Amino acid sequence: MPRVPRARFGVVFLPESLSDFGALCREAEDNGFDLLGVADSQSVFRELYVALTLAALNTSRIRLGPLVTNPLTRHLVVTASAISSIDELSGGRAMLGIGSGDSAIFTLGAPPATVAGLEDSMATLGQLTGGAAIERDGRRWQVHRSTRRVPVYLAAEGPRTLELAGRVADGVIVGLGLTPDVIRLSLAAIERGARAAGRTLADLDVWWFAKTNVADTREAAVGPITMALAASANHAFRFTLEGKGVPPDLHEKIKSLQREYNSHQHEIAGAGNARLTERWGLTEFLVDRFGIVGTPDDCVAQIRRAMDAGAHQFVITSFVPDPRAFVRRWSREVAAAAS
Amino acid sequence: MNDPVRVHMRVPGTAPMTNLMTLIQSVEAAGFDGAGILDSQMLCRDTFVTLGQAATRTSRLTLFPAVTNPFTRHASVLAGAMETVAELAPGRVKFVIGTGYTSASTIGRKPATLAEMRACIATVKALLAGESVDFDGTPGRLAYAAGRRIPVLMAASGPKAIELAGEIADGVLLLVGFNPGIVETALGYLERGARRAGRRVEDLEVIWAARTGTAATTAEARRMARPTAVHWGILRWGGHWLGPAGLRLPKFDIPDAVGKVYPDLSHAHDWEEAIAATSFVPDEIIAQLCDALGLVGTAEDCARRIVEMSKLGVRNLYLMPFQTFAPPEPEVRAFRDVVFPHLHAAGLR
Repeated sequence: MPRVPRARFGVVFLPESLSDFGALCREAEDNGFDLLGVADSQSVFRELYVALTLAALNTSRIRLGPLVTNPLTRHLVVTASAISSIDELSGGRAMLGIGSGDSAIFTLGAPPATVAGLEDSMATLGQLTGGAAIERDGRRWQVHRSTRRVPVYLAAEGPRTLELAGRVADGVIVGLGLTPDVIRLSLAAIERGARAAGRTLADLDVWWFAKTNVADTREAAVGPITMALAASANHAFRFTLEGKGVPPDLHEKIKSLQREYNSHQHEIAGAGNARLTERWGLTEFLVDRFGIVGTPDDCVAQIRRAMDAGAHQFVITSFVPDPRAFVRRWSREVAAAAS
Repeated sequence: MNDPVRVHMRVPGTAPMTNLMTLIQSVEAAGFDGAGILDSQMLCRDTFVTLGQAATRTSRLTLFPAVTNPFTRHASVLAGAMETVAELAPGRVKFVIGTGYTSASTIGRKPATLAEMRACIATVKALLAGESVDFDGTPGRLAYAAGRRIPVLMAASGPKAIELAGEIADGVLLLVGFNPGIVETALGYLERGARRAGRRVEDLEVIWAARTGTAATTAEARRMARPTAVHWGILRWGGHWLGPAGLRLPKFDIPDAVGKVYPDLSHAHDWEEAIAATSFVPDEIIAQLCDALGLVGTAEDCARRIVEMSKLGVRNLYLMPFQTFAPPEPEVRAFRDVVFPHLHAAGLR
């Protein structure tokens, strides 16, 4: 019988303040998390690479990096140089999560990166962090101090991007959802891409993005993270709803939510976006699709359901009023039971 | 007592991170007022990673990017990064932005235009002040702007750039040279720009960049300064500053060896090769250029020149050691052991 991999967890923090950020990062490490991501949205959160500096200085084991940055708001050489600096500071623990851009670019009125643009950016970032010199715009680009190629993880929510991840990325942060059919659909897309490049699924480090909270009742857990569920509805289906396993009767409701979504309040608890899921009758759908949320037992059941469908590594959000208490409780009451 | 002379040191992020923090702490311990962290993405560790870490490892030093540019990061990223560093080091940060030199040339683009500088500075100032700005029709603001005072300075080396700094920035980092004629001329440009905006030069923070190199003898300091002196004095200065500096130079044919130095003469990786490539310029002209450009000589020479220049009101310095990418340890020691005690004795510290 094949061995069932144990559940592993990563966590994303929003750098909403830096006063206790180092302690929060240490808490994640002490509580057994394997991956620490920091959100990148310059108009809403503190600077990514300063936050990652504090994360690196306050931890010693956990892998860390942006979850996720984009190829547009910083020049690619700046991004390569910055993540190499974090890699050096952390003793080789950096990873680079990248996606097409959400609130970081929507708050600037800019269009997101194309699939082709992402492919090119990932290749460039991999080469630059590995210390290679590449010819671009008539010049030789090289990040002179880089010694280790920092693995590049693509945040992907659609079949084309998942295939791209399968083809070229070192890892993938799947954001399309956690229901069994969506997990199978996502794995199939990643595998198609991997095969096209002569690789297999096993060559990729696959993580599943989950909107999470744990409380004594399901209602008490869902309430504080409706803005995060709205963010998933806005992001995962923004280019198309086709081929993503969404019931047709929900398409119009999701489009309505997207029209009303305010990127300036991205992932801000209690702000206007928090009311959109109820307003459009999408809360239950979004909890089932994107959430691991509820009582500890609810969360464990959702994790087991996802694991049965082939997901084993979960990047959870900590977008709750007390992230430190949350990571402790998750570790003791959810992660321990799920593993 | 006179107004003190403040001295900031340029720090390149070329050493391993641990050494870099030791260096920045030694800059603080030596008595410097500030450290400017070089921003050149291919050659240095990330400026904001270094600034963030330095903020947590120092307690008194003023910190600033030296200098950043308007094209490798979006203006909103720059504003957010500055606000973030200021949160870690309240009251100890400045924002210094210029048109880009190695940060532009190494990625194959031209330095920013003055129109780009004007737009970026206006955006960063507004975002730091918590105001809304227009991003191509989308209103944007920095959600966590806290109303901290973060002076926005523009680095400038030509007349039009200096005027623009006088018009729109909270201050200016003048990369023009370091002698009385240059100071007077540069202040004239600055005043013209300030007046355009109904301001006075006295309302602005003026920092004078001084290319700096100390050695045991004046002759050795000048020899070491050759690549920078020739690069700035002969290849790059054009007509702006030679006249005000009171220099008349013969016309030189530039030998091929100069073009072969990577990435260029004043940033050379192989400094002795760069010195050799400048052999077409005689020592007496190098001596004149050194005096016009900055602080070149023994530590005592440098102290004397600072005292002289302070009489013209030059009391805020930014030291740019000749070897841009080498840790400035000799200069830190020279200022700690000789220059600062000398300035203290003169009532300037």
